[in-house]
Amino acid sequence: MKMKSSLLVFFLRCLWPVNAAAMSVSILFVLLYPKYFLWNNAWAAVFILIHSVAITFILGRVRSRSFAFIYTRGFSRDVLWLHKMLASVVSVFVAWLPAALLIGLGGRSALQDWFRNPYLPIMAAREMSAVWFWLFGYAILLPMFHYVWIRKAQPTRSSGSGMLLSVGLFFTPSALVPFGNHAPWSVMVYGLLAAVMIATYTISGFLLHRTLEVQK
Amino acid sequence: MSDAIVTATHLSRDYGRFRALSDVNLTLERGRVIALLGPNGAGKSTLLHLLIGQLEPTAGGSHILGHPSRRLPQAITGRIAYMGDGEEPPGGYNARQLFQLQSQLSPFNSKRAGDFLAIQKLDPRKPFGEFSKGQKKWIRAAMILGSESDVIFMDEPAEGLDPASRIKLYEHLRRHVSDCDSLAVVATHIINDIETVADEVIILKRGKVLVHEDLEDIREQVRELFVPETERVPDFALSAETLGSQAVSGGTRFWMKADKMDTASLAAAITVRPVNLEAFYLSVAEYNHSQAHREIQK
Repeated sequence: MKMKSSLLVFFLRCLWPVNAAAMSVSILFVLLYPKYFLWNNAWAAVFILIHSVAITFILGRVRSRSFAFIYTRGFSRDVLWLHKMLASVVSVFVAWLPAALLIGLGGRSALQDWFRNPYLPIMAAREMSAVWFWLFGYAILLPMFHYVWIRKAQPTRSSGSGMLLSVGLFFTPSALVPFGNHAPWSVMVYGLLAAVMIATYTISGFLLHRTLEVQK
Repeated sequence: MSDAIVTATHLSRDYGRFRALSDVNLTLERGRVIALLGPNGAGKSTLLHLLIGQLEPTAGGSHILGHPSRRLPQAITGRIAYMGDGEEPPGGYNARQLFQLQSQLSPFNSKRAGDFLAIQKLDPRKPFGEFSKGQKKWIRAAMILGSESDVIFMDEPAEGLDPASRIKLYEHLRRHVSDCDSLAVVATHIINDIETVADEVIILKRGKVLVHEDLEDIREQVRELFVPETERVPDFALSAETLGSQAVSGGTRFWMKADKMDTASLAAAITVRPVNLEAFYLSVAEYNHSQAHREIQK
């Protein structure tokens, strides 16, 4: 499958308002959050959840006029799916790369130093690992929500998508929680479960995307 | 060797308990312009969506260029051009960007598309959303006509265009079909315009194909009889052989097969003329009062 730059640009243009808002919020969050970041920061979790839902919802509106247009241009379903996934990944980096650079290159530390933040000494040492963990959150949520919207546009819709979403939402925290102070083996087990879940949603979404219905 | 590039076999589609399309069988060949006619809700758009693989059939199936519509590989999808009624590019795009998008799919003749755009003196750098309804249709038609596609499907392409533009659109479509040896299927309610370029006619009603016939054959076989109010209606016009009839100002129009008419005994005031497509469509789809039209297909 060759890259079609125009198609990627089309999807990114659809996502532009969401990504612009997400980038602004993430930069402000990283600059102004007064405590040091941990992997389980509640605000980051809510942000990632909302951003993931927004990305997948926008890319899943296959029955809107503009998506009906792009789906009937002559791109195969596999090419469309691939570019939607690429657009999702780019969106994550658009939202978080500036924020990560601010952490990694010391912009956040400098500002917090100016604010005389008492947590400053442990910020730089710990916070980059939190950012990596947040990206892992996207890796779980994006395939799952993409799958839900793809499932919703199938010719034979059922309540199965809701059930699968529930299962996914159960496994998401299950996979994330043990990364705290649990036994090393549990990290491996839940990491494996998360990998299986990501692979299952990705492959299922890819296959079902071939049969979704664009027109009502 | 058959030139059939689009086929449908027992193609049906339900929306819940409503059957939108029922047992459609079609074989469409290269080098033809097909007029797809029917009242609102007849199943025209559903048929097009099924043929291009955007909908799953409830029963039966269809093939384009030898591949099942629902499993079209990239090599085939790039050879199909579709202009639908319910889709539109985002308003921020301009014509140049849309042409670039199309050119990434299949061989695209930018000059032909640009020349078509220039007929209406449309600025290719102006955002799509700032054009009028008719101009938007024109730009989308330029995308279709610029492509070197083998199969073209258009759903109400002339809606919103002025009469002169409609004629030019269909002239260019005819040229595309001739130059590229392609097939064009055009669903429309504006029958007089498509009649000038159509080779075949498909009339749908309530999801069923009532007629699929060469336009030339229809013109040869069917006549329109006008009986003024002052004249007695001939007996043959009242028979079950009559395709349809319509009371109009000053008399009644009857449509029937030429070989069922006894023209020798007609009064001078009664006129007979070859049927035009719109009159034929009305006789079959709107004012039909017999099943005799089915004989035309035989």
